[in-house]
Amino acid sequence: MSSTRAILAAIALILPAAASGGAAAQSSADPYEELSLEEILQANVTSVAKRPQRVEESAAAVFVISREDIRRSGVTTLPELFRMVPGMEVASLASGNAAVTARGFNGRFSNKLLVLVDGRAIYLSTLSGVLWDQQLPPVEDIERIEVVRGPGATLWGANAVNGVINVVTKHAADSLGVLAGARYSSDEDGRVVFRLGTTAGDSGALRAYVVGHRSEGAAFAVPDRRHDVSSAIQAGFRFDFEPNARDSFTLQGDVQTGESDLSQIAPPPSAAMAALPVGVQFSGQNLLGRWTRTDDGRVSSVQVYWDRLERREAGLDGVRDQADIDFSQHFSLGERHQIVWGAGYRWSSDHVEVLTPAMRFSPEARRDHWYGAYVSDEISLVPDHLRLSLGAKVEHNDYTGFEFQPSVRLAWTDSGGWTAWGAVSQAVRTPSRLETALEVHDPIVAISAAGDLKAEELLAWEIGWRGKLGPAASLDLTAYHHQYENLVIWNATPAMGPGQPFITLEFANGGRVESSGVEAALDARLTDRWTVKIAASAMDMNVLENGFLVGGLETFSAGVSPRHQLSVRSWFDVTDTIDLDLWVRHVPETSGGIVKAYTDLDIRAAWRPTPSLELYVLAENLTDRERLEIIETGLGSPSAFNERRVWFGVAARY
Amino acid sequence: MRGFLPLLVAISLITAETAQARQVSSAGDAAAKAAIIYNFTRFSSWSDSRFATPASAVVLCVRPQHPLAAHLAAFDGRPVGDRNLQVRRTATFDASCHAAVVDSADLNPTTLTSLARRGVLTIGDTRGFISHGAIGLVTIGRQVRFEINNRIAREAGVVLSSRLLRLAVLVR
Repeated sequence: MSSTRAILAAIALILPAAASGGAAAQSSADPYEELSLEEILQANVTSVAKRPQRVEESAAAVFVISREDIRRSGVTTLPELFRMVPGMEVASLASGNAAVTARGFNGRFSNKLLVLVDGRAIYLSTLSGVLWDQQLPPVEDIERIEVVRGPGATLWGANAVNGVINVVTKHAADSLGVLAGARYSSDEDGRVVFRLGTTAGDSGALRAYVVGHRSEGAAFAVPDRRHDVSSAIQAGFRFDFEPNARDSFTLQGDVQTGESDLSQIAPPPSAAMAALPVGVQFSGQNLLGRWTRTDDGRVSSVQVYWDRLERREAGLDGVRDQADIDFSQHFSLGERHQIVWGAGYRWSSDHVEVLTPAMRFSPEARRDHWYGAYVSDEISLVPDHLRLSLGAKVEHNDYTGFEFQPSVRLAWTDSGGWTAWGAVSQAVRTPSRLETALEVHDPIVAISAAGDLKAEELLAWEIGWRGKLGPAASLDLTAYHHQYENLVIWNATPAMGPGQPFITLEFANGGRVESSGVEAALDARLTDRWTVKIAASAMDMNVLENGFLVGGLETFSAGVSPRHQLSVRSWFDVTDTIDLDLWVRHVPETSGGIVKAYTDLDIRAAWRPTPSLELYVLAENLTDRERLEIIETGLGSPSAFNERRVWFGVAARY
Repeated sequence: MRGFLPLLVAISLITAETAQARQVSSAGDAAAKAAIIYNFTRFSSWSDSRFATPASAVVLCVRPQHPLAAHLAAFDGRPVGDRNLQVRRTATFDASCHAAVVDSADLNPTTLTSLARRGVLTIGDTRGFISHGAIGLVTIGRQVRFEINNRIAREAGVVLSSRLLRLAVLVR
């Protein structure tokens, strides 16, 4: 991999010089004339290039979940929304948890997907993953979700390996007035949301919300299923202030608390685990401020946030504080260069108390620092047609030192209205606190803390095509080849003598995987009233080096990921005030047939008797009474039986 | 929490600047507003009786001196469903206008109500416009949004699409 890095670095240095000079770029006409109303009112995609960009032009596998996608899905949690994205894998776990990934390696703590909400990382480096049950932004407040599959590390830094997801909430100007919503299901689950928005003078707007839910279900357990209840409440605010033509300012924050019945796998893998309490309690608070200044096309932004979360689960009682400051700027250099650069610093402090003598978290408390800088140059080689993006991020972390994450992207936009692109990029996943600190002393299975772990590395090759198929349809195609090295695996050592654990596990770098796949998204407006959106993907994963427990149990298994997936959404406007929407998903069997194939059907019917009132019925999982979607191995969470249910909902806006 | 000191400094700097740096809408704002108004006509429907022939244009009236008049002119001839848009710069608004961008001279309830009765979709750019007008642009900082008084639009015989109603920040 190091020689590839050297080549990428050399290309990054040489090409900008070669590209300077030449004819001036064409100036475009009125930028608003060709845009849809939604596009005029909303900003464009920013995740790919860290500057506003139209999806059609971005040189990456990007999928945008829009307000309309959210509304017509009837979905209220982030993981469920990702089921519409080609190449993403979503499986329900107990108590509102979920296994979510893109392009393979799924599990509750799938650790290769960086997720941010309004620029605040919700990827938790203590565990290397996202605690999905603690992610509760009301979907009513979401402007869009930008999902980029493939490495985004050049701009977003470590852990944006298989993808980066940015949840972008609405500007406070888009949530004025009162919103009240409630839904209740056939199995007595419920959710309520209340939001209040107001202008603050001529230049500001403010909203505040509270959202709460309670769900009841069943989780997979041996010998029998277990009852599973979870509930949470979250409140928050967002204030946007634009005092003049140059500055915009955002201040936002949330507080939350929640609990659930189940966390660990049953039966527990060891005696020590069996003795642990099974419930989960969590809470969290965060506050974020951002100042953006626009001067003659030069846009600079400073963002600061603080984020605290507390969680008690599986015998661990942890609190984590994180503070982050980030500067970024983009501007044009001459007529051919679009420069984006930035620098950031993150501080994190955690304290993990262990509630059983059979485990140790060592050291119990730790402070970590990350700092880094990135620069990316998009060069217009042939004005309006051929663009080359070169970029790299250099980042330092306390586990593995400096990491260099470069990328090269090339895009051709044809006069015929399509774009073809290709990219080569690198990304790393840094070791988690858990991997280096957790020790389990158990007579059967012991875990000893890892010594020095290196970062996991990915080298990704991607090509894509996106364009219009006639006036009412668009297609987005991506193909990729991923090469992973230094993947963290379990190293198992059998007992050396009497009185020792039956087996001792240690984390080590040693896994090697190659995967290839294709992803497609097709949107077609068949008539004025009928739109169909299809997402399909196929993947082939080849595990070259793995780690094994006794009995051939693998650290990671290609079989957890479906080899192909299909999602078909149909939106039909029966009248201007009645929607009838269908969503069909097909996932083949996984884990060698232990998890059965399923074809799922959701139906949503909504009626708006007045423009400010909507009543709806949402029937989920109509084809199965219940099903399992994943079987977790390792330190996970039990699978949930995803059950058939019918929701009755009402939403009012004044 | 020390990270918040720069933030607080930033807030105080911006707030201090507000007093003197109050800028009026830039050219960018006007272009955006004109494009939004063009879209209002695309997502509105008038009864066929308001048109002479199936091919007749949708007429958007604006006074020649209105700050948005020049930007709106860029949309003259653009498609509105099966018809085209005609941007008419005129000092008199009458029933031959399907929509009218109203300025301060017409901002009285009597004028707005009589325009609605004559089947004209009234569009304004002032705060509180929808107390008597149909669609009002609102500017919050640099964000341009719109509010709708659907009762007045209906009074003018204009049906606004659900998409437009959904995108409005306020529907009355």
